[in-house]
Amino acid sequence: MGEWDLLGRLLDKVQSHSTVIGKVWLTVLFIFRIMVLRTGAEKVWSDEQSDFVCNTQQPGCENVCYDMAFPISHVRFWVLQIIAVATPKLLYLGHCLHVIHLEKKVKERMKKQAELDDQTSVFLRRTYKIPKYTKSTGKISIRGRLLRSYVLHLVAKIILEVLFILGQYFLYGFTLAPRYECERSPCPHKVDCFLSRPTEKSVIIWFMLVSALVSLALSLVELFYLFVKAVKECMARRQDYTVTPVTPPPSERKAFKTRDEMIQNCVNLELELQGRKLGVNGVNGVNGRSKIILPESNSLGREVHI
Amino acid sequence: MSWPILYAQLVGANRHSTSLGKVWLSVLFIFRVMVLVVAAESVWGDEQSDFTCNTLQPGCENVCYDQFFPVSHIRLWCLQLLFVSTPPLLVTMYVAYRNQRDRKRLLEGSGRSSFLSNKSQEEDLDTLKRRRLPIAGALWWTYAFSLLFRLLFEGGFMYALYVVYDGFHMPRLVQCDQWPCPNLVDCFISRPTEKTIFTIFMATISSICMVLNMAELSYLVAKAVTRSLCRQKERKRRSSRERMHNKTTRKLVSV
Repeated sequence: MGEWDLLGRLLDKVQSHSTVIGKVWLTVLFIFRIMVLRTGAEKVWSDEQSDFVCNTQQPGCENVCYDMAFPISHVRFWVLQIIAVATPKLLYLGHCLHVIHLEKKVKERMKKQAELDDQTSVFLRRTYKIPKYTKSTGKISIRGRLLRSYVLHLVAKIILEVLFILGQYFLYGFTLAPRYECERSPCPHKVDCFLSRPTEKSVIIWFMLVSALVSLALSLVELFYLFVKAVKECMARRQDYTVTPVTPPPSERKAFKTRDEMIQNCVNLELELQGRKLGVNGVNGVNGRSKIILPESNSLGREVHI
Repeated sequence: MSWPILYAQLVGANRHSTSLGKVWLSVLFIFRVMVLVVAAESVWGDEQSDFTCNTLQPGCENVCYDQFFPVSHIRLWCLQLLFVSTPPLLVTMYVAYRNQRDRKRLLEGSGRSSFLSNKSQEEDLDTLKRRRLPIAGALWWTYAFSLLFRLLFEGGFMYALYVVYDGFHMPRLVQCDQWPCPNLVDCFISRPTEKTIFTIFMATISSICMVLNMAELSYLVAKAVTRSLCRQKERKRRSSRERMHNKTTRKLVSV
């Protein structure tokens, strides 16, 4: 699969950033579409023009009739279809890598800050921006911005797949008739032209059509699955949340605009904890830890653990 | 054409390029090299065997084909891709030169201070190989020139294709009266519509690559301008601080 190797390698990289259904979709793409195209379709269509025969001796008539019957060969159409359908995933991979690269920079900056400023580092380690997309294990979770671009890529994939399936229907239909009637100059009159291997070609066209439909179905299921998961997570989060006098409700939480505020909040927290340890009265231990909410632009973005 | 070898070379240069450069490389290989190898080569595969002229005169088809296709589209595109891929190698060569120079300095430095262990030296050499040089100074100029050459080659080849074939459209019928054809004969090109589709596709992707190169060049220029402005501000701040410091010391001395 020499020439498809690069595409394969790039799509493999996306595997770790997709859902389970996304991985199944990639497998379908590679085995049922690319491999069948390379090993089967190319051989069947190899003599499509040389064995396209017209009932005339007029030179040039076969050329023009073939051109009219097949403005673009099925094989090339499928190549463009596969590339078009894989492009949204590659764009998503690009976005993913960009986001992870930015997070790496933030992590490095955090480390540098911690090295330079020892005193405040103890406070800042807890209050500074926590890496959102990469967990400590190195795994990447699809949430916030990434989730949005994942959904966008799914929608784009679905639209492109539908467009190509409809395009194929309007260009050739889904079966090939053995005879094609052609009346184009320089053919002297309406001539009968005969296709090579029409039945075998129809079988492969149906096979590729079914694979395209399966890919489309998988993309639709994936979209639905993401939607259902997001709704479930939203409902679960709403049930788990408990309002206490220490932590204000989310609508009233102020984003920490300056570092000093964050540091002050941490100092307050430490003093509170120390006070509770010494058994000072008046400190209500209903909620032992007051949650410090980080100023994140995507704090309201739905999070989906996949 | 051994495209994997070219890819291996370009991936090395890719480490020191901007994000737009990386996008450009992917677009180049997926939308141009892959489409060329997988699709376009088979479309143009029978261009001469299925080029038929309305004559029985031997040799007429050969001369007419030669007249209308001095260089095949496929060969033009291969050359275009080769020429367009070579400027990034300038960047690789410069990076290799820098690494060698720094390695020499490192070895000389460690030779003088003999207490440096072999292990730390190896580590230093490793980091030298793996580091990513910032695009500044001479590397900036090399990179900018490589982008300029890329743009020139892309534009040049697109123009050449347009001029040689009179546009991006492939006609169905061409008329030829070169010797030994007895009179003006009609010659029919094979798969003209499919060839037109692929010519337009490759021209579009070529323009997208040109736009990416121009965007990358403007990004580099903007980066250089902001860097020089920052440096000027720093210099001004430092000089004003020094002046304040001198004033206070003078006051103390006078007091």
